[in-house]
Amino acid sequence: MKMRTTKLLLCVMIIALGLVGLNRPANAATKIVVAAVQGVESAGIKAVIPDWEKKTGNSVELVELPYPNLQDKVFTDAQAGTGSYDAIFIDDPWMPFLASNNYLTPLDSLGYKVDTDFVQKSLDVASWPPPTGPRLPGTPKDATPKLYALPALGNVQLFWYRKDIITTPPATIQDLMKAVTENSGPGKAVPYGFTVRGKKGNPVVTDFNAWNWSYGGDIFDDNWKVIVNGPKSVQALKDELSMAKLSPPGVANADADEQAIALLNGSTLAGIIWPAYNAQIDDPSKSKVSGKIAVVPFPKGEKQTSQLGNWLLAIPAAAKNKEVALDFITWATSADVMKQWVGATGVPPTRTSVFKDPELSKKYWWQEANLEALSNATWRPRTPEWSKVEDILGTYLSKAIAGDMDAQAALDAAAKEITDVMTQAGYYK
Amino acid sequence: MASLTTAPIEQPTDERNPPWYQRLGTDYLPFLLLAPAVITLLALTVYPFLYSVYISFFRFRGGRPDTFIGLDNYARLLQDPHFWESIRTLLLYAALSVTLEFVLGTALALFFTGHFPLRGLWRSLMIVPMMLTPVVIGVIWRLMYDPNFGITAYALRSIGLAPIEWLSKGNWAFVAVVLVDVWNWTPFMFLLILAGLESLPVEPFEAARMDGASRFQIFKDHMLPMLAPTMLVALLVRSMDVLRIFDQIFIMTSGGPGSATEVTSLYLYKTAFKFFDMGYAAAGLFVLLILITILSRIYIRFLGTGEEG
Repeated sequence: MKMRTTKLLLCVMIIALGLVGLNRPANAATKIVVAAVQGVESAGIKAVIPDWEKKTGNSVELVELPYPNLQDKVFTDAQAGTGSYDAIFIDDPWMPFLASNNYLTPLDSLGYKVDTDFVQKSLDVASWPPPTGPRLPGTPKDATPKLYALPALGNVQLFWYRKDIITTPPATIQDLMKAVTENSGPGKAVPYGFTVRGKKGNPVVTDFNAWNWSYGGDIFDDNWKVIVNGPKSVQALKDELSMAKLSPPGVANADADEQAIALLNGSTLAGIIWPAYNAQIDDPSKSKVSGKIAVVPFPKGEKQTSQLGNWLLAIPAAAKNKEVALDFITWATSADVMKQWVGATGVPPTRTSVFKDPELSKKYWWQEANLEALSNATWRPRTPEWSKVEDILGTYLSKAIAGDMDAQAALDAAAKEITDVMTQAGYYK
Repeated sequence: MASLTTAPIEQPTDERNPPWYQRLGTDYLPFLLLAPAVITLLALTVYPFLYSVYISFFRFRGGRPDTFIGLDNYARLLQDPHFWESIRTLLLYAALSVTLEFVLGTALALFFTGHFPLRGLWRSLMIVPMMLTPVVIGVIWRLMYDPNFGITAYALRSIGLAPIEWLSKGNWAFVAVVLVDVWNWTPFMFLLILAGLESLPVEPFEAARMDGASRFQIFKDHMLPMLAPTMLVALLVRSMDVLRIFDQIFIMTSGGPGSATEVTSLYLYKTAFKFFDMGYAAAGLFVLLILITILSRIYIRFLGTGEEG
């Protein structure tokens, strides 16, 4: 009896293994796996994938993930070399870590030729080593930047304000601060003047960067010396904190969604907003202020700039189907296709021809402002240590926004820890 | 004289000692059936544990082990104020959450030993919070805590109070995440203690009642000692679990504002998957494991004392 049971079990196992072995598609076209960020950023490309599949006979498995999970999975896959993905959406600050550790495929090695229709700033952030700014210690001075990704979304911080209340466009940050202070509060047109993104980590650092760079401050100088606690950066933070006092409640945990909602529901006058929300301004189901919001580049401080945050399409070094992946990303970022998915979603393109397309410019009236902002934008420091730097800065900025530390103390504390990180990483001789 | 020769050893017949392949179905079947589970367990727990101990002796660069550095990661941990701050936050979080869950769970269990209309339905509804996934809980409570449009803000405004910025102020953020944990896991305590209560014999309590003992005295002097082992098991299981808290806090505050709610799992997650300092994160996790082991030993000692008493 027991012998029969064993034989039966062995037979079942053999049949199961056989069925698994038989279940292989015969003569299948190539399937590529693309990891993308979940949300409007990838919605456009997702919609056009069937066209590429029809054109080439290949197929795409699109894996959509929230931002933090996408970063985890992309980095883990890169480090393990498992080649789970053939193409990946990457946020531009991930480029230094991925490219400097040879986790990405340089596109010229696959025969790609640079297309100059892409906005130069977008091509620059997709290249490594960085064409301008400080490079990693030990990088040869004459090292030529190589293109490691194709720019897909020309994300850059924009400035929204209620043009029906602030009738004179603020030319400078001081004008902006004066206008929002005078026009918001109890008994005024709106209860809140400015929405600050205060959530710990990437959100709060992103908002601060716009202020910091506009004031002429920075995080590092050209020799990677930490200067984030310098007088210009401190003043930038002080002014940002004064705006945080005019923000809706919950500012210290507010993220991009809360910022956009604060403006779209009519309770707040102004804020630094990412382009993904532009299409909601005139959507009556999402906005109570259709036609009343102006979208412009962030007003000028010492200079006019804001933070760039392009989404790029790259091919991991361990990808199993590199040529097919290159074909896909080249197609997806071509002018005609980009026009299609930008037209459907209103997200910012990365090609000058698409920015200036008359049809799209008419439909998405903020594109001109987006192109101007992108051309003047500043990118985050190009160092693989950026995640640590951002986390440290994000922690102390969050404390400052929550009122637990003043601007100077917060930036001093951040500067000290960032210096320790850079020292351990070998940036200083 | 006895013969020195021994009787010839009787050769075993095939029937009594069949070859190994014929014994598969008898002697080896239990092991064969257990093998997949054991192999999976070894692959998913023992191997990762040993590997993480191994990498804790390495410095990582670019997400890969680079140099063997011995105990340097552990030495660095000892001097890392952020790590110890996260341990303090975690222990405080655990102490508050488990205590509140225990007290509320016991109170609810005592209440449910009585009889009232729709008792079964209420009991089922009580355990709903425990059924939700941590991410869903984090998202729901983040919305509920919103001081602009959350239901907590609405409730406070309706009684004339200003909304609390639950997740934006350090102390309030900590209280907020503890409250969510209590809401989520009180049902667990409730179920265990209720099961313990319902398994107790009623005769000692009836005898005590007849002797004139009050309900409080019956609870304190009779019920509690009998319930102690169940309570300790509930506390042990819940304490081990709460020390692994991650999802809810990640969704609600990401450890902020500042580092007010940054518990150890969040700090080490960040170290491993944002900074890719895997060796250091592995060392931190090993230290956390030691802490949890010490805690569980204390509980088990109490359990053993209780049983002997």
